[in-house]
Amino acid sequence: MDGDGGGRLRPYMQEQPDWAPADGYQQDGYSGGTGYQTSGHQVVGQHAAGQHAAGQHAADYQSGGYQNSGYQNDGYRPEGHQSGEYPAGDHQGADGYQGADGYQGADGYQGEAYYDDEFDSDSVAAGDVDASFVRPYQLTGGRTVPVDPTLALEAQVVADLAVLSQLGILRYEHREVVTLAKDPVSLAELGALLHLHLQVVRVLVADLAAAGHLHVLRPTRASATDPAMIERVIRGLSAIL
Amino acid sequence: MGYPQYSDSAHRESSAPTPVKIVIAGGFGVGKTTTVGVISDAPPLTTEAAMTDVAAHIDRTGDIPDKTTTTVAIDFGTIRLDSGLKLYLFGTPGQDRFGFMWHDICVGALGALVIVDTRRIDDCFPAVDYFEQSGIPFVVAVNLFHARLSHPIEEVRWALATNPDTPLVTFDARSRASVRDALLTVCRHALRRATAGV
Repeated sequence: MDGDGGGRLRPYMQEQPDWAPADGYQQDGYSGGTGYQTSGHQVVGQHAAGQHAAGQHAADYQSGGYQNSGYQNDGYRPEGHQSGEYPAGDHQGADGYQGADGYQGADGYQGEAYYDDEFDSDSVAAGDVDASFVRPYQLTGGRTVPVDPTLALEAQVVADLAVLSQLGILRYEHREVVTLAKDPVSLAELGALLHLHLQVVRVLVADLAAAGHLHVLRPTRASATDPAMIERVIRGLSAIL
Repeated sequence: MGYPQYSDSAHRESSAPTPVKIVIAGGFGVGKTTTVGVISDAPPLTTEAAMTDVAAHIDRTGDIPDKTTTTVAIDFGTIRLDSGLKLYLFGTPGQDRFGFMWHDICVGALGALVIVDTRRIDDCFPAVDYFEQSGIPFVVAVNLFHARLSHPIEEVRWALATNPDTPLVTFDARSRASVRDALLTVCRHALRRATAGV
């Protein structure tokens, strides 16, 4: 199946790029674990032919069959894979993570990443540079919705004095936030300095505030329309230069 | 949403400056980051706000090879105006399809500076629309690329169809004094609006 399969399938992929993924999928008897092994090449063929349903990817990955079925050994890989777009770190690290606790199943996160990579081959190089090895949800304990999504970008946070003397009790990323907040700092600055997405910062800040480690000062909306405040800004700006 | 407040650490909180915010808006590549950078105390920082997954798929970056990330970066700078007052300048993402982020950036802003490149005047329409609708005082500032105005200022005003009391100024995004004056125009406009009770 190895050599033949590869030789047979490549032209096939080229001839029928529009092969419907759902049908082919079912015909292959994919649902069975062993069915995947034997028809694995065809599944990949669909894959490479540009039929990308996110769910499908997620399924491929979840089964774990992708690595077991020997694509990497027999050199049969779709173009995208051969061109080295998958640095070991991103691809396999993610797989390992999945295998470990099946996080994948929850939202098809991995499938999605895969989708992006295949489609925007242009974006892959830069994406790899930018991508953090630590997924955002790992920093936030799995939560994606901040406790307080409305906290303004310029809201100031400052660490509680008590916690500054016992940083050891904090998780690493919490500790970073508190350390930076030794002096008052804004949410936006925390995000920039820690290279974290704003929503991640909001989650971390809300957690720390709830634990009493951080004090959050919400900017008052009224100050933007307070003539005295605006005059103060004018005075400050006029003093520049 | 209440956060725990402790009286014994009130002095910690009172050490925080009052943040005020001016939004720097305008089309892609119109000079927003230059504007922020030239007047900030430190080089502008960039914070990332995640695009939704839906938007990430719509964001076909293949058309622009150099623009590859699927996150929205917000450039911002800060100016310490006095011991208790810190001005934040937030740049809006250039493309109008990131408009969903604007509320996050603009809420509570003192005012906005909408930068216009007269060669691509329509790029600023989304920003003008947004600030007109949200009621945030804004000033239209024509960035003088190469120190010249390619269209008479009154033509620009006509093209923008802004309210006659919306200030329209020219400035040079590379000049600190020029940016300061543009920001002062924003503040004075905001002050007029505030004192008029609008």
